[in-house]
Amino acid sequence: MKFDGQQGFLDFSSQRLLTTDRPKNTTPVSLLTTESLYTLNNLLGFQFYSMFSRPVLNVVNANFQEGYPMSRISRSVVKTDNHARCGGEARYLSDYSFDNLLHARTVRSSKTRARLNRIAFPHLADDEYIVTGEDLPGSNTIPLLNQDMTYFAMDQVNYIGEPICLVAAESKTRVEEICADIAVSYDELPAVHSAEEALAEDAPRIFGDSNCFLDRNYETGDVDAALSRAANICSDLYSSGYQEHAYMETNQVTAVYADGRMTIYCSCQGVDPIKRLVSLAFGWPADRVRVICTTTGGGFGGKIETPLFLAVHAALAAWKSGRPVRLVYDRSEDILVTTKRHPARIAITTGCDENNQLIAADIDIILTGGAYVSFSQVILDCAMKMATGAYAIPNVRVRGRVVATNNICPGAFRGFGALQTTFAMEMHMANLAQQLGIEESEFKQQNLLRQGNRTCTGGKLRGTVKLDEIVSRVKKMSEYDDKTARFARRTDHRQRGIGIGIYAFGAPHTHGSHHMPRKVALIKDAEGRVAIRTTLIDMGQGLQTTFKKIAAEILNISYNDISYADPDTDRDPNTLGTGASLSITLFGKSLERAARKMKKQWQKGKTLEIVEDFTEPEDLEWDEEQMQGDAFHIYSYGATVAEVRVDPLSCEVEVTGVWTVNDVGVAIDETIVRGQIEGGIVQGLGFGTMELLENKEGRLQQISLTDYSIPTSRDVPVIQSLLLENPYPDGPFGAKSVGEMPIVGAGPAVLSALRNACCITLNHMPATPELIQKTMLKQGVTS
Amino acid sequence: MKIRFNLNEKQVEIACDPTKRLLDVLREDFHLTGSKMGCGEGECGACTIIIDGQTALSCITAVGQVEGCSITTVEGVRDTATGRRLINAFGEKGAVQCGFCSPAMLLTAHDLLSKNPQPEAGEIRKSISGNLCRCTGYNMIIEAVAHAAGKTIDTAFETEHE
Repeated sequence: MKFDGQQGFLDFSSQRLLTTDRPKNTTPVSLLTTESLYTLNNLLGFQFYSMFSRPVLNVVNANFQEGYPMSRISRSVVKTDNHARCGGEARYLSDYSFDNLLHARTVRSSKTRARLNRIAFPHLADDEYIVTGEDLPGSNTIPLLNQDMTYFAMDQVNYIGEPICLVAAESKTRVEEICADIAVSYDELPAVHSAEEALAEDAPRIFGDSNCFLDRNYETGDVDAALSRAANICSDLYSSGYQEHAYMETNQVTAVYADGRMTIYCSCQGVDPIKRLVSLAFGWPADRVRVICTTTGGGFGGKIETPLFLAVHAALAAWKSGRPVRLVYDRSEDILVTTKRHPARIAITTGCDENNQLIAADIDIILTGGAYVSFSQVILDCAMKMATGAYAIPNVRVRGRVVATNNICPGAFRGFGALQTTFAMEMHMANLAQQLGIEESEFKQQNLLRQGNRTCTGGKLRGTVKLDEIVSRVKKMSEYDDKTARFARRTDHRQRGIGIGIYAFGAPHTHGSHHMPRKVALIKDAEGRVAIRTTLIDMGQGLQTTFKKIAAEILNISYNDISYADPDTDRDPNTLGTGASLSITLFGKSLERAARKMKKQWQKGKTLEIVEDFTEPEDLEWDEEQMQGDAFHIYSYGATVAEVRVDPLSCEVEVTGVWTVNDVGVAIDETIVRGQIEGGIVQGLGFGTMELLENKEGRLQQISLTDYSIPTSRDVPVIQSLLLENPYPDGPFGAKSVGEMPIVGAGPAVLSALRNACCITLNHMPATPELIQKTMLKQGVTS
Repeated sequence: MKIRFNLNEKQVEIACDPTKRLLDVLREDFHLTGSKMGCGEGECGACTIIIDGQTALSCITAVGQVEGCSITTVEGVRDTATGRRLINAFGEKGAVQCGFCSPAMLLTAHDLLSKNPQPEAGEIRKSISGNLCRCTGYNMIIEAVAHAAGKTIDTAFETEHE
């Protein structure tokens, strides 16, 4: 079995190679690999499952045809990793012990922008190590856009928390002592800490002429012409802050250097980029590096970019010391320095005709970037491509910028820019409805995307568009109209409100013809056991189970006979990473094709391997430069209603009810889909009401879970959830994506409810009690 | 210094600094990795254990404090009848996603059911309010605990097939 190794570095947004260096890398992999220690938890999972199980989904498929018996696959099964994870047998990164292990900690800049004047290192005993950028045998430069980011700062630091060096020693106490004894002296430089500051006329220039990493725009139709004939024009500004992923397991890696190879064990969302970057950092051929993903305790996008740093840092210390090195970010460090959701300032101007139909929108998006552009381009792209949310607007002009600041670098986070734009659009629609004197949900429903409409980039809406039905159903479920009338009468001394958030989330994104391969493999052994081989990671979203169901359903075998081991770059084909709501719809389809081929070629007693790259619908038309056409293959749709109670004195918010109706095509597993919807909604509610993360002169203020509040069980009401089936032919068994979509609507739903409860306009998220109180005072509202 | 306590129904003894964090003693010295480090500040609950019949946070407990105490970790409950019923129920109700909070949820639920075999949904919700979960949104965990207790809570989820 040979897989092509990674060739060059990836530009995620376009899947184009950024370098032309293409070493051919073939890695022999034996078919019947012995499961070694780090996959033991999978075997334990099987054992425990069969000991305690209820009947396994034994697929007896007498009537199976090329079409799909959809309702069968949707029927829930117990996840194959349930018992191991639940009972504490599954081993996460820190649960593995290594002989001769060194602990490590990163020494970081305490200044937002400064030249590094002098670093004084303390005396070290044998087996105590400090590594810096100068120790990297290959390159300290991270091969991303602008080529300005380094693993370790060299002459200058540009944000608080920027890595300067890494300390490694046997005892954690000694590591702390050495870190404290490293004396860094800085020559401070003028800095900027917000998009506003960065764009001011007299701002210090920290990047180029304009402090702007990226400035893109597109226009669909003719916005100025439409605005000139509009009966109503409405303009406003919306903003949202940083959000922390708050995965329960912090970022951590263990690096082991042995026999000329570096093995990185990692909690992450993508092993392939880590392998590529470590090999480049060391100047080694890629096959000297192996990356294994351990059972990962949550990601949400926060373990895509960040592990790249941990891996190179720990690997350097492992190489220098010859001992395994474990680097674990403690919670405060993880909040303070790792990637976050991009803060956004979004200005929207819309024009309506005399029938209150939207005819034009001008949307100006400013994302607050960090000291380096990092991966901000892909998030900006996504925000721009979904700038108008769930609405049909024939003339759209969008400008998107990422502004440089001396703050931490934001990055990928579930929702990926579309959360910010959907929020802005939802609040704008609420404000506009108020201006026009129409009830909010009625106005929104009138302007929803419908069959035959085009998207904001002028793309087709493929498949059946169920938004109108979704909105009607969720309103009925929640008794929306009745409650709106009732709450307006204010009989309760605590203000009550109900609101709605509507969303359309595009995924998979259109890759285009020059994309890098992202393959999935299916292997059958002589005994009839099947292995799924992919570097896609199950970080809790149930991918190992859903993929097995897809294969089992087609191959007509028990899914206990299908394995899907933790990703290992030595064995598994490169998918580049897990995210962007691609796994089920895009790669699950590859898996489906592979399984169908395997079924046709299946021979008892013979081995067989099928490798499938992903495909895209042939009728997609996408112009990347102009950002026109089909930005996405398909959209998932939904609407969430939230009901709140607000204390008029303290402005404390209680979410008393949530109803949600969603169209994700077909659920590969209903319980897993429900889990994604509810988890996403709660994460969105958190960002809507309590996850305040303030930046004061470049330093985040809420850097512990005490101060950075995320929802507890008592902050969440029962969520009433309805899934409307709407099979998508290009998804496996009709499935569309569900990973990111649910988080997008929750914040707008609760803010809409708060708006109605308190009779205020709320244009900022999170809407904390303090903000609500301030807004009520400012807008002259008394309770 | 020698510290003696009862760990999952076995008398044990450890010689170490009494200020060493109990979570680290359990994970490193006793190799019981079911209790997790999530925050180190007693906020997330992933390190939950039971000390003398009460749930406690091992990341803010010094090992010296448990001299003479009786400690139960998730390893001590997962094979009991209630433990297995809970694990199955968590599986049927989709209460485990990334699983990092799950052992602590299991232990907390086990403790609840041992004291209150037929809890109301509100009581379950309150009992796990010290355990943070970022993946599930909590309701499916609450349904799982109720299910393990033999109670039915309406599953608030429906699919309309085409």
